[in-house]
Amino acid sequence: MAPVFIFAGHVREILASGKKEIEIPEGARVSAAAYDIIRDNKIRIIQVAAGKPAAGTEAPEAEDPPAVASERRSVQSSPGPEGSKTKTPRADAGEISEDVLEDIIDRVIERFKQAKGLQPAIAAAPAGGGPEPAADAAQDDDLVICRCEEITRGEIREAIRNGMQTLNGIKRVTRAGMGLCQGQTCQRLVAQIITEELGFAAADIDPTTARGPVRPLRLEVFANS
Amino acid sequence: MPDKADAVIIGGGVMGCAIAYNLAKEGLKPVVIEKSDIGGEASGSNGGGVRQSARNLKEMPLAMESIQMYGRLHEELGMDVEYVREGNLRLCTSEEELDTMRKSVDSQKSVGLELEMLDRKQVLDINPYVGEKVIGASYCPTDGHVNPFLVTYGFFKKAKSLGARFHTHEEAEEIRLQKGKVTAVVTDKNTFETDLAVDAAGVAGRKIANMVGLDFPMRPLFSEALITEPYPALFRQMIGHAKGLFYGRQTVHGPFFWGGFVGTEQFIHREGKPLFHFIGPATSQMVIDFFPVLKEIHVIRTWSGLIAQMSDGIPVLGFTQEVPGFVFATGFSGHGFGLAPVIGRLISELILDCKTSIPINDFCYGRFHKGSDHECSCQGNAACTTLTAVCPNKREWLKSI
Repeated sequence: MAPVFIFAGHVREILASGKKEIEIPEGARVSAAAYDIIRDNKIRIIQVAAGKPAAGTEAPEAEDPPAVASERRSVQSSPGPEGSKTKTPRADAGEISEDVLEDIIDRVIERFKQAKGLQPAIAAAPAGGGPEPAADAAQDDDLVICRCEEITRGEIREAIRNGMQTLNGIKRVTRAGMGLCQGQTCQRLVAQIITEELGFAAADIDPTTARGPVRPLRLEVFANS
Repeated sequence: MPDKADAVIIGGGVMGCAIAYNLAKEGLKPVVIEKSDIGGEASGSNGGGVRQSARNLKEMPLAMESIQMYGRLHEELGMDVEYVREGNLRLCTSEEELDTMRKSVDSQKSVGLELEMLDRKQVLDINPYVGEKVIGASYCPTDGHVNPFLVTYGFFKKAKSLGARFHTHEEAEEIRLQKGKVTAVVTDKNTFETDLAVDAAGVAGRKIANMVGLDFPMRPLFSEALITEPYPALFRQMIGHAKGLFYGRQTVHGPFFWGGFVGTEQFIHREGKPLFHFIGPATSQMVIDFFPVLKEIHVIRTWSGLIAQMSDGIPVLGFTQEVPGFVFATGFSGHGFGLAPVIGRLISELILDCKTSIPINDFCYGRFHKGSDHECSCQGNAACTTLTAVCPNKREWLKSI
């Protein structure tokens, strides 16, 4: 069966209706923004069996019997023989309504404004991993560099100006590179900021210490490796 | 022209930064030397547990004071350090473990720590996610955890704003002595004239002490940990195991941190980097056994670090009569993070007043040299500290030798 996503919009709907609890199907993915609202408003999480629709979410029909479903309810489980039925997150993204997407974007922008007292930010992270912030973005302190942890250029600069000189050091104090992709996107961008700030040659900047696993691995799989 | 410093702290981890902060707060101008970035070694790779339970009883007064200080730390440092004081569960799976745990709980209660033994039902009330095999636990409600990077960074920033100077990416190479007492610290880039050298170098602490001819039984202990993707909040306690096989917590951001030991890792690492990854899988299996709900969660990163393990498991603190001006604050044996605020304060008190508000005689350097000329002659609180270079009374005396 397809994975169920919980977005900020759903949680806010529940909040608006005055309820203080949310039903989350087992194995569902909760977005960071949704999770923040759940935490901030102290909403109680009720785990329900997989396949049961979460409040506000239109969960697709369960195609498999529950026993099989529980085997493959994780989003990133590799496609098995029935792989065609297992939807990847990307395929699923098509099912997210535009309203929900807009809501997520609003929420992210709102968060930055709140957290940093900035002007309304255009949180446009550069596409791809290449070091390509445009010249006009060079001054842009609210540019998101680490997309997983939502860390801006300004925060990274502050860490460097406070004395951090290595990718590892910056990672520790800002969290840039600590998210799901483990810095595969932002590491080169952070390195570029270091070269700009400290004048080091790019070749002199050591990469962050390599940490296994190369990609996220389920705990039960890791346990048997 | 050599630089002058009131004190040179070798090691820019949480201890070095906390000591620098406390000294700077009292108006001194310390210099901190760190060979990588701030918090680059153990302070940047530890689990962030802040606990009093299951400590050596000698450390208990320090730990209890430290927990109080952690409660106010965010105000003192002016930033959130993600401190969570929601208790520590040490899970037991057999009668034998319960027996050991009961004895340890009784002895810890005798020194005034608030903690209790729970049966399975009580454990489930506190943490409904523990697995079938857990039959009981010890519970200390005032323990907790903290984000170790932010604490280190917070002390660093505050110390810096108060006038402490930080030299990162600089390695101490020599401590100069004159007539047996510290006069300067030489690094690969600078020379600092100073009366006081503070050894807060953690796992390198023994090497630093060796520079002035002192030695103590400390060895690096290899340890590995893993972190998972973020997950909705399940529990906020620090989790431990009766035999210390694994430990962990859910961080404020949502990911779970788990660390563990299997026993053979000491032989299969090189300079703190593992040659094979087998602790991670072993830890994962234990986590699944104890928290079956987590078996589907994804591991995103594993890492390793070195623990400065003393032969007797407690740190070396304070002065020694052997080398006036040399201060120990190292060897925390893997449970120093919880002590950081109080150590920072006590070492600064020691440097300024020759005495500490909580006795630290049990941690003196002389304890390793029973029966020799080096033997510690602690009688009162100040005995180990008689040769401080800053104390006005002693300073005169020092000049005369």
